[in-house]
This record gives sequence, structure tokens and C-alpha cells, in this order.
Amino acid sequence: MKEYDYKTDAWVQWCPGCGNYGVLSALRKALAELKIDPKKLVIVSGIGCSSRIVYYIRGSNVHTVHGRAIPVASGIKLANPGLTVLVAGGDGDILGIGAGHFVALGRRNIDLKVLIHDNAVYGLTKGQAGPTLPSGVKLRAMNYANIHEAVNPLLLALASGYAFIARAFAYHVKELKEIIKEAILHRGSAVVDILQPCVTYNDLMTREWFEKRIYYLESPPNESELLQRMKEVDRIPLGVFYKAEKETFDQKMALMVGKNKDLKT
Amino acid sequence: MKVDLSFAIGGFQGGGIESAGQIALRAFVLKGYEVFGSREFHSNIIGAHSYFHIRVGGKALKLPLNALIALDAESIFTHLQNLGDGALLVCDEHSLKTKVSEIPSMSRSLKKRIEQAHGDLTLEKILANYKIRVVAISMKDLLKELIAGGQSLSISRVLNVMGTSVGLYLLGLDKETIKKAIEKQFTDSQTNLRAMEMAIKEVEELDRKELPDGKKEDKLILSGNEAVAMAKISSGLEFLSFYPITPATDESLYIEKNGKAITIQAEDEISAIAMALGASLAGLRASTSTSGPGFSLMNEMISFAVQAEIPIVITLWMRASPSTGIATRTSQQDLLHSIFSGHGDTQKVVIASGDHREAIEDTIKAFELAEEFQIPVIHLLDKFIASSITAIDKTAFRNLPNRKFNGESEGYLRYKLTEDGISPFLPVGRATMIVSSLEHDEYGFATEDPVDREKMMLKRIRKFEKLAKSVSKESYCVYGEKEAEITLVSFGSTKNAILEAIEELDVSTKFIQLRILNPFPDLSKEMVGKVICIESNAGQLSFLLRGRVDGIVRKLNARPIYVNEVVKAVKDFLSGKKEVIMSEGV
Ligand SMILES: Cc1ncc(C[n+]2csc(CCOP(=O)(O)OP(=O)(O)O)c2C)c(N)n1
Ligand code: SF4
Repeated sequence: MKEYDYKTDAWVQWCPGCGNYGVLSALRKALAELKIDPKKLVIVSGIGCSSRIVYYIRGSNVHTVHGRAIPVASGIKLANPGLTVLVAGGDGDILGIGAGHFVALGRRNIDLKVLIHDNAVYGLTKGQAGPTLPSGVKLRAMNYANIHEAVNPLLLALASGYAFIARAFAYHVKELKEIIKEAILHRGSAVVDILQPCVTYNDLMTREWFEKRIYYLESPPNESELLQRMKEVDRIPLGVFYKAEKETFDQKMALMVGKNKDLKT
Repeated sequence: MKVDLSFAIGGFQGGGIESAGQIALRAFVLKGYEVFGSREFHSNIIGAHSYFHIRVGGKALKLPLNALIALDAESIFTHLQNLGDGALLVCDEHSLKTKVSEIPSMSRSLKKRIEQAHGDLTLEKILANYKIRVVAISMKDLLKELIAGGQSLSISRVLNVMGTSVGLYLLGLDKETIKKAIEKQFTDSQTNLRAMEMAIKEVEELDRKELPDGKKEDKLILSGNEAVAMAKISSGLEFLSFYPITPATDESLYIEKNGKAITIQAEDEISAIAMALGASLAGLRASTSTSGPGFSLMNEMISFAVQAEIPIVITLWMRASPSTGIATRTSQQDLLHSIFSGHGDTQKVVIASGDHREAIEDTIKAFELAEEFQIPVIHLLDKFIASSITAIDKTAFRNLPNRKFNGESEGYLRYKLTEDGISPFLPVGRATMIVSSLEHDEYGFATEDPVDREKMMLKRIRKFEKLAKSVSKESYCVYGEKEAEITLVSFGSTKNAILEAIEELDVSTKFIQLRILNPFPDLSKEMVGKVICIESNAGQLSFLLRGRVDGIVRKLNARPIYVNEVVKAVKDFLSGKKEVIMSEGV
């Protein structure tokens, strides 16, 4: 499998320079390296600029409605555990309207991989504050400075019970690709918070702004350091923060109903 | 001899009313009679009045009551207004000494109504003005005797069996039948059987006529919740998701316990329907169940299911709304909500069942339609059906073959434009495709092109027209005379009360029962004479038939409708009233 095999002939509609291109490229490369059969690849997204990714990657994909990708994907994965099921969406989609589902997925530990295209704004609706936008910030399209506190996706994931938690940067395609691969290979619910600059609406958290702050963790921090690392804001650590081996919901469900049926394809 | 009885067993919630009712139902079924039992209860766990209303010899409820088995004084006060002349009252001696002011759990309004009618007197004094037969036993003495025989017991554990045994015995059932019913009800029935023996001994000397044996058949005794759950299981349900809500949850829990489906409690109703849609996309036969408030949350996903063309069966158990309304009482208030659910031009099917047997048939039919037309099907039922119990013969259930898939995995087009609007269906994971919530082309790619858009709109319309044609013959049932003076139109659980009522009316009457409300059938040929709508809401069906209705009969008190009040309502209408409100029930 080559990266090219995952291309569709849909025209990519993102603004030139958008961080989403990096995610697209890294994801295609990761899928190619893992040799995932496009027919058995299900990318489920919500609504937002980033959610359009389902049209640009060859798979057996589902474009749902705003905020609901996680439960739809959960149904798919429980129905057919043999598929590779990924969820892609913006921070608004997954941590705003879909926050309850995000928490529920961690609690369930279904073998799904959530890619948060984290640009701290609502891109598709033209630049309103997203759930990860720091408090007090006023961006281009906003009337007033943000009066909400930002949610920390990593801490929320940890508290919810995710088995794999990582952060990556959209323009570091190679590193992002490796993290996505690791997430896919780790059994259980995984989240990758991808810092994805929106060049059109987020005039604070730009590529340059991030590049001054990011650094890579050498290895997942130990327990005593974990929270502190996740909370860092002045310098922003990237990489895998947390990995846990736990029984997944799909496995437990199979025991409970005595028949978690695998669709023969 | 035609046996026709209507009686209630009342007590406080948690006091064993459920098992008392079941024993009574079983006993009459064992004796060979047709039975129907309906459970009314408060939206709390323990305390507050609850009762089982049982009809023997018919499928609908009727007032006045021929008998009341009262496990406490509140039950007697509550059902006073429904006791017919000559009715039998079985109660505890102690109850008769009670005044209404001494009952803390009774609603303030009912207390006031009773005080206004009777003053704050003891029941004994109030009942002296009624032509009823009071059989009071001393529960305290009986319990003492029972305890002397061994284990320690709380009175509430056996009170229900004692009262019910006495009631059933005096209504004409033999001891052997009552005994069998108790044995069937409890896994360990020894104490209960002794309680029964002791209680019946107290009244053995009294006058009674034994009922003759009826027609004995091998039937299942099921609540509406159970009937639908079993029908889902017999249909080969593979995935069920739900979020707890009265009166839907019992159905889901039954499936979780007895079915083979993957059953999952979701974090909310949005997730419940979304997960079921995901499972359906992956090829499983999937369903979710809910009630009004949960269905509100599901609306966006219904729209998604229409646009993305995903089969799904949503069982909607209506309860008294708006908002949280009265969670444990019935209504038909979600008719328009279900028909107009989802934003946009959302073609979907709404099927309404009139009784348990139809609920079973419709559950199975719902899966067939959902899968053939790749469309959401909303199965409309209500709390009255959910918690009422009747005997069903097993032939109502049938198995469905597995879901059929018919696309080629190479060159697969999820939304292929076909003559009848139905595209081949392959589950995700079997071909590359895009299932899309956005308007899309044949492959599933998003498009805003006007020609693409029109084509897809027309595809969905063609599909729905085909569906409408295929169900046109079964979308309503007509009973009674073809050319009648009066046409009654209704849907759902009002069916059997109306059917019995038209037997009793001496004016020629026709009854149109709507079975499928979306697509809405053409009734123009059927509406003859004066047309009256009967429904348990403010007039939603009348709205759909607007311009063609001469009278509206509504029920607004969140109780089921009774045969006698339908008869009266039609008579009121004939005597000139345009709008009638049916207010029976406590
Ligand atoms: C229920 C609902 N509410 C609102 C919208 C409008 N809407 C479309 S995209 C979007 C937010 C997009 O932001 P985000 O999820 O962060 O993704 P991004 O566009 O930034 O990638 C909203 C609110 C919608 N489609 N559905
Ligand atoms: S609006 Fe922002 S997030 Fe959306 S495509 Fe443009 S740059 Fe990317």
C-alpha cells in the first residue's frame, strides 16, 4: 500500500496553509505503512472543516452530524470489531458539542482512535471561540475576548479513562504519522490531540507561535510527572503521554453477550 | 354464560400490587377466560397509590368496577367513585376505621374532592351510603397466625396474596386455580400458599357462585413492553442501545437479559440512536427505544438517518407530556412529533399499534420496512400498552431472515440512482464508500450542485412513494358498517375500547383505525356520515384530518380510555356537543 492508494479524487477544500493538510498527509502515510485495507478502514467524522477529511481518504467512511461521530463509530466498532475505526473532528465537534460522548468513550474503552484537529476555533462557522481557546484571548472574528476557560483535552482524556493519550503538531508530519500509527496499534480507546493551526481565524496560535513553544517528550512521563506535563502551557510538550493495557469494552461485551459477532467479509 | 368482570387491586406502590395483579391475571387465564390488565402507578419508587385494573371477558377497560380488592384505605377512597352498585369490596378491617384526613400519601386535590363529597368521616360511615358488599378481614389476626407457623414476616409481604385470594375466591374462582396461579407466580410459594389457605378459610362460609370453566388455551401472559421485546428477539435483533426512561426501559432490559443482541446503555438518547445507526451501517439489525423526552433528543439523528439512508427501528413509548409531564401515565401526545420529526424533508415511517398482538406484528414489520427502504421507522406505542398485560398466542411471533446485502464491492455506489430510488446496500467494511450527512452524489461525495441535489431529492421521494404504495393496503383497518351514520377515527391503544363501544352503540357506526400514520393514508373514500376523532391528546389526529372532522373526543387526564366513556362521548356528540372530553379514571 502506498500513500497514493488512500487518495480520492475529491478536491481538498481547506484554506491554503491550513494545518489540516498536515493531518491528512500524516494519516495517509500512517495507513499506508500499516497496510490497512481501505475497505476495512472506517473514518467517522462530525461536522467542521476538519471533518471533511473523510472525503479525502479512501476508506469505508461515514460523515455524520456535528458532535456525534464517537457514538456512531462506537456502534460500528461494536458491531464489527474487525474494522479499523477512526474518529476525526474539530475541538468544537469533539470537546464542545460532543464532550459527553468523548467522556463516555474513555469510560468504555472501545478500541477507537480519536484524532482531534485542535485549532481552538470553530473554523467552518467562521472563527468563534473553540473549547480549547485560552481565556482572555480575542481572535480576529470574535466580538469580545474569550470569557470561557479552556478545556484541557489530555486531562479530560485521562480523567475519562482513555488507554492511550498523545499530543502532536500538524506540521510535523513525520512525528504525527508515528504517533497516529502507535495509537492505531494500541488496543483500546486512544486520543491524539493534534495542534492544527487555523490560518484564517486563529491569528494568535499560529505555526510560528507553536514552533516557539513545542518540544518532544523523550518517553511517556512517569505517574508523578504526568499531570504537570499535561498541564504545561508556556512550553508545550508533544508525544505520547500515557499508555495503559486494559481490557477493552468490545472484549467485555463479547463475554457478556457470548456473541460479539464478527462480520465475515 | 358470558363472563364480564371489571375489577381493581389497589395498594401502596411497593406493596406487591404487581404480583397481585399477575396472580389474578394468571388465575383467570388458567380458568380459560380472556383477560386484560392495566397497571397504573406513581412516578416514585415506594409509597403513593398504585393499582391493577383487570378486565375479564374483554380486551378493553370498563367502568364501573364490579369489585375492588383494597390493600389499604387509600385504595378504597381513591376508587370510591368507580364502585358500581352491588360491587364487592375486599379489605382489611382496619381500613374501615380510617378517615381521608389520615392518609398522608394521597394527592391534595383528591383529598379535597373526597372531603367535599363526603366530609371527613370514616370509610365505614361513607360506605354505608353505597350499595356494595363489604368483606373485611382482619389482616393482623391472619398474620399472627401465619407467623406462629414459623418465620417472621412483614405484613406487606403477604397482604397482597391474602387480599387477592379472597377477592378471586369470592368472584367465583376455585381454590385449586388460585393455588396454581400463585405457584406459577413465585419461585418459592410455600408461605404464600399458606397465606392463601388462611385467608380463604375466613370467607369460606360466605355466599359465592363458582364460575364455569372457559376455553383453555396455551397462551403467553405478556406486558406490552415484553411483547415488543420478544418480537424484536424473534425478528433477529442484533443490536440495541437505549438510555433509561419510563416506560421504555423494561423493553430494553428484557432484551438485554433474554436476547442475543449486543445491548448497550448509552450516555444519552443522542448516543443511543447514533450507536444503533453505526451498528446498522455495519450490517446489524439495530434498534433503540425511548419515550417523548428522549425522542426529542433523537430528532437530529432521524434527519441524518433519512439523508444517509440508514435502516433503524425506533420504538417510541408515548407518555403524558409536554416535557416531563407525568412520566408514569399514558397519552398519545407524540403523534405529530413523530410524523414531523427530523429537520428537512424527512421521509420516515410511523406505525402505530392498537394492542399487544399488533405491537408484535408491527415490530417485525418495522424491521422489514426499515431494511427494504433504508429508512427510519418509528413504532408508536404508549404507556398504556407498555404496562398492560394480556394473554397472547404464540403464533403472533415470527422470525425474519437475516439482513440482505446486495452490492458489488468493486465500484460500489452507496447512493446509486435507481428507478425505484433504492440503492444496493453494503455494510461499511465491505467496500470503499462514503455514507454522508451532507447532500451527496452517487458515491457519497459532498455536493452542492443543483442538478445533483435535485436528483438526490427525487431519489428519496421515489423511494418513499414506492414505500407508500407498498403499505397502502395495510395502513388502516376498517371495522363496523361500510355506510354508517358515524365514522370514528383513531389510532393506537384506543382501539379495543372503541371496538367494544361500537358494539354497544345503537347507531350505525364505522371505525377507522390508522395503523400507518406516515405516509398518511388517503381516507376520503372511507369517511362517511359524521366523522369523530377520538384521541388521548389535544387533537393531533384531528389536525391531520382538518376540515373533515365534525367532532373531537379527547382524553387529557393521562389515563387510558374506557369502553363506557366512548359510548357516552358518542351519545353526547349525537345530542349536539361538538367537543367532548373523556375524564374517567383515577
Ligand atoms: C447541531 C449543529 N449545530 C451547529 C452546527 C454548525 N457548525 C458547523 S461546523 C461547527 C463547528 C466547527 O468547529 P470545529 O468542530 O472545531 O471544527 P473546525 O471547523 O474548526 O475544524 C458548527 C458549530 C451544526 N452543523 N450542527
Ligand atoms: S477555516 Fe481554518 S480550519 Fe478551516 S480550512 Fe480554513 S484554515 Fe483550516
